[in-house]
Amino acid sequence: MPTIKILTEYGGNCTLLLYYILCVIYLFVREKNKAIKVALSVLSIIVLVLFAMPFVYEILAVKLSETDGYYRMLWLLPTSIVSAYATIKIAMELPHKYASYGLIIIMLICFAIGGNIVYHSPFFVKAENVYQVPDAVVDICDYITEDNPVVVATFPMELCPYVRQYTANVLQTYGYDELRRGLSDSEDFVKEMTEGNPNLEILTFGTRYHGSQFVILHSSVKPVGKMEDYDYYLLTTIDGYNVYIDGQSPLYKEKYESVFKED
Amino acid sequence: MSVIIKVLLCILWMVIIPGCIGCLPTKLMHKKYHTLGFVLLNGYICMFGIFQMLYFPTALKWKDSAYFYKYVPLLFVILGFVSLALSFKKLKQFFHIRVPYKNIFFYIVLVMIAFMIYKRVTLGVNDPDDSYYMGIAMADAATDGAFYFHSAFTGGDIMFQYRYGYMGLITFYSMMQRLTGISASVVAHIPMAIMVFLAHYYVIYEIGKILFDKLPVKVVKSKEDKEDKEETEVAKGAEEKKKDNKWHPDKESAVYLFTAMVAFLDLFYNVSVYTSQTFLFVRTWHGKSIFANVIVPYVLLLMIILASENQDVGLKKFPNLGYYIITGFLVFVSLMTGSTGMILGPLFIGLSALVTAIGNKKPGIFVYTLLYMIPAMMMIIRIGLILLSAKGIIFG
Repeated sequence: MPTIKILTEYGGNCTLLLYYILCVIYLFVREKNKAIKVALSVLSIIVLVLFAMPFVYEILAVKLSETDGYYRMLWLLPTSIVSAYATIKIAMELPHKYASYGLIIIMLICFAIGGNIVYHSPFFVKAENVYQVPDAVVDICDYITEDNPVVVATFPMELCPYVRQYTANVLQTYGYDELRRGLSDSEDFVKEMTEGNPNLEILTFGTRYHGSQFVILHSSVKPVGKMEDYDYYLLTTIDGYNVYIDGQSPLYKEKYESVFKED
Repeated sequence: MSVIIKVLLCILWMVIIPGCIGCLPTKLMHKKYHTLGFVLLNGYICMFGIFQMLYFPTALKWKDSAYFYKYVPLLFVILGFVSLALSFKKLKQFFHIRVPYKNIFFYIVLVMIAFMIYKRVTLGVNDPDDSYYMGIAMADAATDGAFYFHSAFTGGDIMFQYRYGYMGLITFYSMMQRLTGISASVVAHIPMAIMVFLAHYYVIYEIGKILFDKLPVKVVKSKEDKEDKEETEVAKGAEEKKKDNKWHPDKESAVYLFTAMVAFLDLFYNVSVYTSQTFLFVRTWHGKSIFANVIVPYVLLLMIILASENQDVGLKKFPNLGYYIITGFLVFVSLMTGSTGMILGPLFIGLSALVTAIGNKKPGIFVYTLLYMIPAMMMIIRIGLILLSAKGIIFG
């Protein structure tokens, strides 16, 4: 059954989920306040039953094409609330207060062992500034938009998610599809952007085709050939990233050509 | 604009205006809920609800954001003034704050929430979805014209994004950027994230207060007013209970212990990337997180309140009006948070009202909840039809 698979995937090692289900049963049996019993226990049971029902899965997941998001129905379960309340309630029923304190401490240890602290999540990165984007993005964007209202730039994949969180004045040549779905359907120049030794012919053709005035490559990237051979010139290196400008773009002719000629 | 002015504007639009709007709905609740926490929470619920009510027709028909960004804040200011004026006499009650200085669990809760907020501010997120939402918000804020017509990454003009376009949360962040001068992504990542944490744990705290309502209140020395006298009387019962060796926590300690334990569980509930708790910490400002961690517990709280009491709050013919109004707005806010909230929000509110009504033999709860859900449901059905036809499931 797909719903059982979703439930076990949602619950991870299932320790906390199992404890929650035990707590729901406990509250169903022991809770005297009807309002609380209905809200925390009966409602949880009904949501779980509905979740497991094939016809609900058929409607919400299959018919509405939300198979990937069906697990969200489990958000309707007040897992932390029920587990915490039942634990305190059980502790209050123990014959001695030291046994109660002991139970609470033991349960907290069990929660810590059975669970997984959220800050271990691979999604977290250290915030380097108030925008919570890498400093390199801020510095590069500030540099390329200086006196330029709106520019088009091609950033390496690792900086791609952050650029337009910092400024709407930098338009990118790729992004969402590659980050979400991988590179299989991407254009060739995007694939080259992720290579350690990119083929500059393919890369510059693609970026120029998309009107990219700037190309940013990490200084550790060793392209096959020279960027100058394809009319891209190194402007500067910021935080380990080389910033190139397209020599065929009007922006180059307007602003940077004279600088390069002086040099 | 200097940073100080930006911060002050942020406080104005994200604390003071919602606070003013929240005065009136809070006034309609029982006096024991006349707290600053409920004022702010209800203010946000009403503000978001009204925002969604106005956003959908604007995005559907006029498609012009310039007027929207201009007049909606003006409406919020007017609503704030009206709400404040109508509940001016209750302000003293709202600001009556009692800090439990001697309760160790209170400090534990405080430290835990402060730690979560600290981590939230100092940790960024590497998440394409977040980039998408913030990219849209930044693009909308930077350009007059239409909503959701700019690609989040390339910034180029694209077809209207049906899946997200009718849910207003991202546009709310865009509006905040225009009003405060602070980037939409900063607004979402910091002040809004803090608000979500505070709202979540405030709702948990209030649920705890109801769950442990029967426990004795700790003895208080002051006998200045009637409430304190009542508290002292209740405490006598507690002294009798203490004769056995069982653990008999006072209400305050139990409530804060409960809140702390929920916070602890939340921290360790990252058992998979799917849990609502993981969303609370990783994608705090996303609609999904707001739905799962603020709306769902708040609905539970309202249902427990509705099931357990029928109080006289000045409207004798309809004593529970305030709770139903908030429930009605919660459906709009569910819709505002995205497609998950659009489907699961009304489903959960309707289901919980039905179960509460049957379980407590109070059919009125279900009937009135349905009644107050109608305006939002009409909008949800309209959006649902548009989305289904766009997906080709109906009409083609």
